[in-house]
Order: sequence, then C-alpha cells, then structure tokens
Amino acid sequence: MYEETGCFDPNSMVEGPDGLSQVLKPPPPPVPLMAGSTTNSHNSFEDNIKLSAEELSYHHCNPHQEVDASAAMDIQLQNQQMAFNTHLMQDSSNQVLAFASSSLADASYTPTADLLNLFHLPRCSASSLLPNSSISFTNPTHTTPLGLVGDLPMTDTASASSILYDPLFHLNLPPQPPLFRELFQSLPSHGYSLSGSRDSSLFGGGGDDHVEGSGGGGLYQDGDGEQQFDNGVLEFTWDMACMGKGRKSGKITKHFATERQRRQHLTDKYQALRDLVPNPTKNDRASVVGDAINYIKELLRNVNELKILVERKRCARERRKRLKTEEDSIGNNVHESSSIMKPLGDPDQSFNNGSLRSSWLQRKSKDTEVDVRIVDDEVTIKLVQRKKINCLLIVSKVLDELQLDLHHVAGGHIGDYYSFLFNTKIYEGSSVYASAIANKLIEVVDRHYASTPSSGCY
Amino acid sequence: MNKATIIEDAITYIQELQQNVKLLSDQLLEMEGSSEEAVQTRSDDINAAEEMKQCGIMEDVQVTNIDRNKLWIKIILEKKRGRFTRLIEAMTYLGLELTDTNVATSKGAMLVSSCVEGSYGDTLTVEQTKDLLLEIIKSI
Repeated sequence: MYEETGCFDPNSMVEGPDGLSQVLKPPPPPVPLMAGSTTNSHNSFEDNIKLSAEELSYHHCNPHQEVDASAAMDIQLQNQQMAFNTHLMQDSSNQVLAFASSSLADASYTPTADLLNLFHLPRCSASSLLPNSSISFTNPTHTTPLGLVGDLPMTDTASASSILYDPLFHLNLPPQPPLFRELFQSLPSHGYSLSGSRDSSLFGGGGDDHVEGSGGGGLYQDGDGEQQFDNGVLEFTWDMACMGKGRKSGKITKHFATERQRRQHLTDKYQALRDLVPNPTKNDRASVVGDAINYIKELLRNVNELKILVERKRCARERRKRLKTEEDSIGNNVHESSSIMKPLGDPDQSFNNGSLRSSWLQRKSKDTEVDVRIVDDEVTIKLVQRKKINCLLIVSKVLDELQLDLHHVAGGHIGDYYSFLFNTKIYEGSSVYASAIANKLIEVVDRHYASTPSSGCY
Repeated sequence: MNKATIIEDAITYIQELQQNVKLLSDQLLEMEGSSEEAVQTRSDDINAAEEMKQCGIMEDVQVTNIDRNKLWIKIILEKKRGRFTRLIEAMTYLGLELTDTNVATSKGAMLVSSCVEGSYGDTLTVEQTKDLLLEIIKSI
C-alpha cells in the first residue's frame, strides 16, 4: 500500500518504535540515504553514508559520475528532508521516505537507464543505524505502472521504513524545483490522479480538481505534457477527467471534459459568491473571499441576535399568559394582584441568563454609510453621508419610529460629508434589531436624497 | 478541500444563514403584533420631568452671534419622547438650518447646542431667533 507521506522533517520527528528516530537527525549522522547507493554492492549502504558525509561539502565536482550523482542526490535529499514536514505522516509505524528528485536539476543528469539501475536494489539489510528497518526498492520497470508501490516489501510493518521511488524522478523534467516542491507537498494530502491507476487504492483523498491545476499545471507547462512521460512507467494525461475518489461529503463530483471548463466553472462560482454579498468591494478573487468571510460573520451575529430577541419575546409572552391566568384565578385578593404586577415590569431582563445581546453591522449604499452597534439595549449609530443634505431631521424621525430614545447626538458638516453619531436606547419592550435599523436608515436617507435636488440645499 | 468545494460550501452556507435570518425576523415580526408596551413609556416621561425639577434645571434658550451669518444656540428642554424631532422639524420649517449639532441628555433634560444658519440665505438677528425658539419650545 502506498503510504502517502512526505519526507521527514528530522526535527519534528515522531518517536518511532525503533531506533529510527535517532537516525533521522540533521546531517551528521546523515539520514539513511538509501537512494544513493552505488550499483556495485549491496552493502554499499554504509559506504554510501560515509560518502555522502564527505561529499557534503562539494557537490559540484563531477569526477565519478555515479558516485557524484549519488552524492548529490544524498545531499539534495538531506536538504529536502529539512524542508518537508512530517505532519503528512499517517501512521508513525509505517514510515516512508520519498525521494524527491527535482533538486537534481543542477546535477548532471545521467541517462534514464543508469538512474533506474541505481535504484534497482533488492532489499538491503539493515545497517547498524537502522536496527530493525528495511530499506527496499522495487524494480521500477515492473509491469503495473504503480506496482512499484504495491511491491514494497516490509520486514515487519511495525518498524519498516521503505524508501519509495519517486515516480517522477526518472523523467527528464526541466528544472522546476519550486513548483515541484509545491506539487510534492500537495501530494500526500491530495494524491495524484493518474490515468493508469484507476483501480489502485493508491491515492486516498479526492484528488479531483485539485492536483492538476496547482501541481500539474505548474509542472507541465503546456498542455502537451502527455508526450513527455510516455515511458511505460507512469503516464500523466493533461486533459484527463478527474478521478473523483473518495469525496466524503456526498456531493456529486464533476467531471470536466477540459481544463478550461473547470476554470470557467470556478470563475462562475466566484461570481456567484460575489453576488451573494451585499456590498462587494473589488472584483478580484481575494476580495470576494474576504467579503464573503465578513458577511458570514455578520450573518452569524444577526442570527444570534434574532434568536435572543425571539426567545425574549416568547418568554415575555408566556409570562404574561401565566400571570393572567393567575390573576383570574385569584380574584378579589388585592394584595396578591399587586404583587403579581411587579414582575411584569422586567420580563426581559430576568430571562437573559447573563448573556448580553450584542451585534454589529455596517451597511453602505452609494452615498451613505451606516454603522450600527448594539450592546444590550444601547444602540450606537454612526452615519456618514456623502452629499450635502441635512439629514438630521429625517434620521430623528426614523429613530422615533424605531422606538429608539435619543440620548446623545453629535455631528454636522465636515467637508463634503455629513457625519453623525447617535447614542440611543431601545425603549423597553421593543425588539428592534440591528439589520432592521441599518436597512431602514439607509433606505430613508437615500430616498430623501433622491427626492431633493442637490441644488436646493444650501 | 480544494478551492471549488470551499467556494461552493461558502455559497450554500451563506444562503442557509440568510434563510435563517429571514425566518427569525419574520417570526419576530409576527410576535411583535401582540405586545402591550404603552405603559412603560408614559412612566419614562413622568420620571424625566420629576428629575428635572429635582435638579433645578430650567428650560432655557440662549442665542449668540458668531461670524456674520451664523448663530450659536443653546437650548435646554425637558426630555420627552419625540420632542427632539418636533424641535428640529419646527426649526427647519421656520428657516433655521442646523449645521453642527450636539445633543446631550442628563437627568431628564436635554441640552441642544448647535450652530444655526438661515436656510434661505437671510441673516437672522439674535433677538428674533431667541423669540422664535422660545415659542417653538412652548408649542412642542
């Protein structure tokens, strides 16, 4: 089974069941670099480690090609391993190191065949460094495209560490380290979609839309990635339908015939999101997402506020009903009825359980901005109006309608704007809520603005 | 989760929340119909008037000139529900335009201090304005 893991970050190592953890430390001692062994001997593992330690300093020399290549690979592997994280690792007991090849860009490429031979190692016996683990490669020319993975032998699952042959290694890719790294990092959590691997349960997690665009798109520069990789081992097709694996949410995965369709679909979705938001600011995607985030937060606040208000009203109503029935049943007892009258005064407060009602929202229209904040029963309204209309009167009227008691007003004419701050209190028993206030204010002010010609103002 | 699914989820979530809001506000509106709150507001006003008397605050109007066209007014009046609106309404009707306004309430009284200009471009005298305002206050 393919384990979707990245390289270890030696520093954040999870304690392996065996001595693996101490093995995987920063450079000295070097990480088990199974990959870079020479073709000569099977127990070259130890030699290799020594080699890489020596060669660590100079990786630009190219005397012995094989050795150098392997050394370079070692060094690069170490570098890469520093960079990658382990959080992708699912199962600590099955630790798999994947060997990334992109960093070999600067090293001279040996022809494909040689490199393949390099990896053609049956299992190595564990060295002293890795007491119980086994390092193994599969023959990359195995018949099944990704059978290499399936064939990874493990001594025992509890303590096996296998090095996976990186599928893309042998492909003569143009040097693209950063993009590849991006792809690689995205790999474990998302998985490839490969044409030849439909049935293998290799890639867990839905690899659908995702891989292609970011990794695939970046890596294979143009749409003709097909040609490059046709070597029998792995095939990537550019215009392939997504494999649609394992989508848990139950939504239907879309299968796009072309990459362009997929992009178009995504753009449509962004547009739909933008249309939902009341005050879209800019057209770019980041703003759309930002606006959506703020809008969702605002909606949540509104929902909470309304829930509290509804609850309060219901409670008040029940209380009144209860009191009424009690009153009726009591009859002429004057003393009793007067004591009943008292709780009627505060049906709202007693219920709240200490939760303070609070909400806040902003609304903008073309010339007006309204900011409404409510804490308990105090409402603070800030109004900024871009045109020269004296809206104090209308706003004051609206506030009366909304049953808000004006406590403090400050504001006036500032440059081209009228700006006001109103501190008000909600009259008791009224259940006005933030969005109602804001909407009403904007509506009224805009209407007023529309009806008065601008020249009529002073 | 990839971009497309995140956006999709966001869209459905927003729609769901919007429906929730609508539902709750309709519910609230419906419940609103059957509430009896008139008792409360009366008591507020009564309290205000009493408080003011206790603190010895009198209703007052002061007017003074600043600049050539501008007047500065200061009004103290008893706070009653909707009174401020009526005040502004009356002032606007009579041609007084409030430029920079400040209103504060304390102890049942309301203090309005504002810069006033004539809306129709005519200059106002201090005396005229003061009388005008006093009348307004009496009538509202």
